[in-house]
Amino acid sequence: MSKPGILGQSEFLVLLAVLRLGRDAYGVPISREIAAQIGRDPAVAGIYTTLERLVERGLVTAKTGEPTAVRGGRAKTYFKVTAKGLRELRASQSALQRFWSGIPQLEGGSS
Amino acid sequence: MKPASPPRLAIWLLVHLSRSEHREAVLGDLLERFAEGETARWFWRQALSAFAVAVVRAIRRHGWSFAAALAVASLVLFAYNIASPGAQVDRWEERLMWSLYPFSSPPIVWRIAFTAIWFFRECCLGFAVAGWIAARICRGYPRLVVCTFAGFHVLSSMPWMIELVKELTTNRRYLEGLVWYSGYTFVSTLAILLAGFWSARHISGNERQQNAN
Repeated sequence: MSKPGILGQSEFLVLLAVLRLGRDAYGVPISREIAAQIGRDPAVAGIYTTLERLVERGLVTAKTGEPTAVRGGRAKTYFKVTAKGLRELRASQSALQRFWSGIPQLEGGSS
Repeated sequence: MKPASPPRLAIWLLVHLSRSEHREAVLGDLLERFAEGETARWFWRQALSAFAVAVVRAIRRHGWSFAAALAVASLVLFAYNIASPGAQVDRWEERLMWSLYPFSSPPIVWRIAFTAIWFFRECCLGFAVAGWIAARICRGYPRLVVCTFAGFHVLSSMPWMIELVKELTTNRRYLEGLVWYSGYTFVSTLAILLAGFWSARHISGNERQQNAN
């Protein structure tokens, strides 16, 4: 089994948003969740590009939902983080924390 | 006031230029958020980002054919301008008119016909051929490559357009030139898009037939 690398910023954001939303994780709430965290509206197509990449890597699964009238008859696609996705998130988090620690300028909150 | 329905052209861009497997989901999300109160401007911004994402994706997956399509189409345009078939057609026109009406000016019908030929030759033919070829070369993303080529064409005409607008502030004589050049850019861009999409339609028709067989 290959050793997981550190996830990119967009991958982090999308994975955490999907985890936070649980069963209701499709495009609209994912983009809202990310907007709430980063303070600006992300490009929806960009989020799907990241999600496609995560699906290809087996970190997320996609499932088509029912089409609705408000979406012009288009179906939602629901996403769920896999066990491998969770492992990679934890691994990236601890790698970043290790890298983060021991830097005096970043400790104690003073500049 | 917010319009009742989202911009149709933006929807068309999303439907026809993206080949993402989540294309329908993206469009559904945008329509849902528009219904919940987002503006047409927001919708356009999202559609244009989707277009940019599609271009990057096409370059990543079909980089060589995408670049080759743009390069060959540009070369075709360059060669067309160098070869200048216009001069030859002008000579034929002169000879024909001289043989038909040696001692009088030709009737208005002839003049209109030759103006139409001249317009087609200058503004349409070379551009249409270039657009058609671009779609044929990049078969993975024919519509996207045609739109990108048309976008480059519009961008490349911008410096000259801006120059004309600047000159216009000092001399009104440049208005005619600006009108002509804007019309030329519009019609030539339309020629690229129409011929390219016509070619793309044939390509997707053939693909559907092959899949059915």
